[in-house]
Amino acid sequence: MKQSRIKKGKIFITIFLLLCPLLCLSQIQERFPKPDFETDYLRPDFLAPLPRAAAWEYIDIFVLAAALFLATYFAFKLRSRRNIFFLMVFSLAYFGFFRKGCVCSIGAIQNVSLALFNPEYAIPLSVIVFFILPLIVALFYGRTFCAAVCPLGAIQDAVVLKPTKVPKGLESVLGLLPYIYLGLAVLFAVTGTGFIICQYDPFIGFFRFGADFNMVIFGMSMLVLGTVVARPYCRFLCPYGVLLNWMSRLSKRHVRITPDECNNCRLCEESCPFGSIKKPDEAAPPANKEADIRRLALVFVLLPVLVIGSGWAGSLLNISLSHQHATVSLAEEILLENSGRRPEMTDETKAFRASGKPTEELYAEAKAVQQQFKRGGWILGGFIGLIICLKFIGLFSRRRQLEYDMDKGTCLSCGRCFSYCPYEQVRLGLLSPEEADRLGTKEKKIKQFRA
Amino acid sequence: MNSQKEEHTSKNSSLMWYGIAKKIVIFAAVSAGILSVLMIANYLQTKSNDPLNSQVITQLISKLQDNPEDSVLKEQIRALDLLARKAYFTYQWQIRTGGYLLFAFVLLLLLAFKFLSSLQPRLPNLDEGLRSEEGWENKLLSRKYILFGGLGVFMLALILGIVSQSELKNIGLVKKGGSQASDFASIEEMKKNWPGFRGPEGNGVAVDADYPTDWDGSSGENILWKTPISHPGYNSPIIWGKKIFLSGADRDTQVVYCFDADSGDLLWQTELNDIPGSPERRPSVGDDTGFAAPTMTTDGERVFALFATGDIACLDLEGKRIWAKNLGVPDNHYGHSSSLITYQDLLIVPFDQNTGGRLLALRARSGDVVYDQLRDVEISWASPILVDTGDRIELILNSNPFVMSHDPRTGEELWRVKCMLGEVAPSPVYADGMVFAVNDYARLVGIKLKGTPEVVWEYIDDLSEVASPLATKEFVFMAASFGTISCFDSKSGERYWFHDFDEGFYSSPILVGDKVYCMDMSGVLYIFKAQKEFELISRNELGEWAMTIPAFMHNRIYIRGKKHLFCIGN
Repeated sequence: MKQSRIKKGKIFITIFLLLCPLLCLSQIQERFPKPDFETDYLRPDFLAPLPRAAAWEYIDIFVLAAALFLATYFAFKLRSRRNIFFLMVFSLAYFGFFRKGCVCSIGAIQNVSLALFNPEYAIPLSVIVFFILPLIVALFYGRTFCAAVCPLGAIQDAVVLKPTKVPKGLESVLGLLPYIYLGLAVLFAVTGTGFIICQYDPFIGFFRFGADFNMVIFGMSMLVLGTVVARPYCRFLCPYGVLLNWMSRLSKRHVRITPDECNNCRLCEESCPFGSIKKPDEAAPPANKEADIRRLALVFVLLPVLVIGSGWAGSLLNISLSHQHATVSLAEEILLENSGRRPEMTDETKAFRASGKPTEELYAEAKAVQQQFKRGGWILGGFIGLIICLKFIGLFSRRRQLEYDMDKGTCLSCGRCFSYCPYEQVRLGLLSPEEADRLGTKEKKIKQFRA
Repeated sequence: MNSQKEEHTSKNSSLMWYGIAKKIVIFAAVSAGILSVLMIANYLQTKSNDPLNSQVITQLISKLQDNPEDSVLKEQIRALDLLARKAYFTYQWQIRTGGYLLFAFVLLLLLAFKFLSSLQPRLPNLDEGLRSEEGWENKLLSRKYILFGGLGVFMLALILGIVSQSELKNIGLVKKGGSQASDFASIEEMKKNWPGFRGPEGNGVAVDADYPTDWDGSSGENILWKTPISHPGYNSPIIWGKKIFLSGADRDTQVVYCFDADSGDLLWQTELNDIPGSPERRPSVGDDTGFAAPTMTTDGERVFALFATGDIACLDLEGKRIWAKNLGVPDNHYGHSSSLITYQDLLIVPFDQNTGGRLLALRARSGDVVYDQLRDVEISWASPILVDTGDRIELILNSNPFVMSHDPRTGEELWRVKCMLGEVAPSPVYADGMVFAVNDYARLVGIKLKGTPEVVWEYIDDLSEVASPLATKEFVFMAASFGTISCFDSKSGERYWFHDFDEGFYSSPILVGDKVYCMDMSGVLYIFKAQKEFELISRNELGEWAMTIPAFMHNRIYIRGKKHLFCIGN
């Protein structure tokens, strides 16, 4: 045990040290002031990818559809972790390094939200497809998108070396973060504040070989952490994962650990680095059923109050959240300058003053944005409150788990667990059915349960 | 036997791959390590030799400033600069290439690691047995975590909500489509106060009341209080309620003061030295003008101050800065002195300079420019007056060569009469349908407004250089800087009387009932009757030089001397 910990520590430190020089990537950003060229020279922008030709949009859609198909085929038909892995490497290369991480399904949440609330915003077809297609596939077959198509998932999967289990309690709290992030991303997109999922994409710096210093640090931290906590961004931040989780829960067909019936041999127990394998409950539920029912009833009675209370708390955030909006931030800077609390003008305030636009108009716009945030804060707070309540209620379930199975919501269909199942070995002709049966104890378990 | 052989072969093959993977791990790790050291060394080297801030280039540039025509030096700088930029782009290339290579090595390392770990399946410790209650315990634990986590999120939102403050919350906005919120004083309220240069509307007429006619600054007779003013200024006091406002400035500091009208105590003072756009180098100004010549004004909600630097500021009545900006340094060889005036929600700024005439109106509550009207006039130092002609409100300005009227709402020119010359400082006055304007070396004119405005009379002797005239229905009074006061018939321009005094007059006369108060530069205030014959009522010494215009309120007279603010009352 101790040796294993030392080994993990060594790997962690080695990867960290080797990734450190990548911090220099942040230095290949602009350091010189922009020269004022008197000629027609146009400065090339090397951080953001250039818009692609229309044909590429269709190629991207085709590649996405093909990758989703293959991922699903590999997971369901071939049950091949190796194929899934190679497809994942392809996706990382194509969607990550070649496409430079844009368009991606995660960021598409923002475009779709903005398009829903702002009819003037023209959303590209590829963005719609990137948003919808993985969700549709998840609705039928689970999160095969996460397994082999998403470049953000792929880059993290590539660094999973010695995954550690995250304690269940902590995991349940950290599981709230993606909902908060999703809510904030939608709110910021709808109010025109910005696309924070893209701004704070930790891996974009690697895909583009150039990013803000802090983002390189963030990305590196994620990768280093990812060596021992598998796919931390996917599990504890990804807002698109929330939607995929919902869809996947409803999926009729979902990959299973075993191609046959589970014999509770326990061999797959540690195989999932994401903690998505549900163990069977050998013991009966605890006896305090009445107390649980009373608590549950109380939660149901208080549910509207809790949701409204959370909404109110969310609405209070309107000031701090609206600071991120360019109009509000500019208005406040102008106010600070006018009131003498900031003697130096910024480039933004200089440009605003030069525009001749009345400050009253700016203030009015900023106040309108704050009002939007107030309304949005109510919805965001209510949504988070509702999610917390529903998660809490879900933990009162007394349904017993009889065999090893995947959690349909969190399982990424990566196929790591397949080869651990003795019946998978039977399917591949590596074990005889009798040998597989001998490894299991199902009969015994069922007898115990019935008794 | 065969199966044993196969197993043996498979084991050997696995061992071989294991060995290869191990070697790849070592190779990739060593290569990545070496590359890392090189990249870090390159980074540190470039950091320590920042090409843009090269000492050599900086020295050469400073040399070039001394000798701008040195073409050899220019070439040398260009060559060095080119070298520096080349070095920068080479560095960028090295970092980028190094980054790619490092990434490839790290990727190789990871893949090899992954392969190695794939040879070691993650199996549970089957000897330990399955803990039967683990699932239920996890659920109970998760409930606690969710409960406290949720509570934590709620508290965080609450704290953030309470702590965060918006600068915008105190900004009052005009509702779209609705009438403008009247956050400025009415004309009636203005008339009850002393809101700007020469009182309400700038005509130099005080509300008739029981003002003192006798005092003596040296003995302190009828001097209710006297408060020192730290910074110089030729602007006159303005009053709103019980508050007196003044501005002062020198080369380093610009300040607005507020004094208590009853006690003379300094209620607050606000320094205005950090206004965005304010020039680092102060303009040169004349000793008779200084940096704070324009008299402040108020709309009852806010006070406004303008300085020779072009800095203009709006404060609330408690001294809190609402907005401030720089209008551009006035191109004015003596220093800007035209005073401010408010009209409804507008702050009007006369800004005639050497580069041309301008009339600006700013939104009082925000400082936004409402109009910036160009004026076809020379530089002037005069202040505007507001005139209600019965038909409309006009803003009238005295300037070279025109006395000009504008619509205060839009800045649009309403009429002009060509009658002035030289450096115009006296402001116009209005009484009974006529405007009177004067300037030294030009003339004193009476302009009738009815119909097409035109000069109906003029007078060319003993003209005022600085002090503005005073007009009633019947008379026009004019004080000159060489020490004379003249009285004219307002309708015909006939001079009724002329009196010579000891000192000259910069301060303009003020009418209080049937008396005229006029102070000379030495601080002696003469009170005489507003009538056809000169009849001196009293002569009162302040004991301090003064060139500003007294303010009349609360049955008291407030005078800014050279160093003190005085309150005179019975």
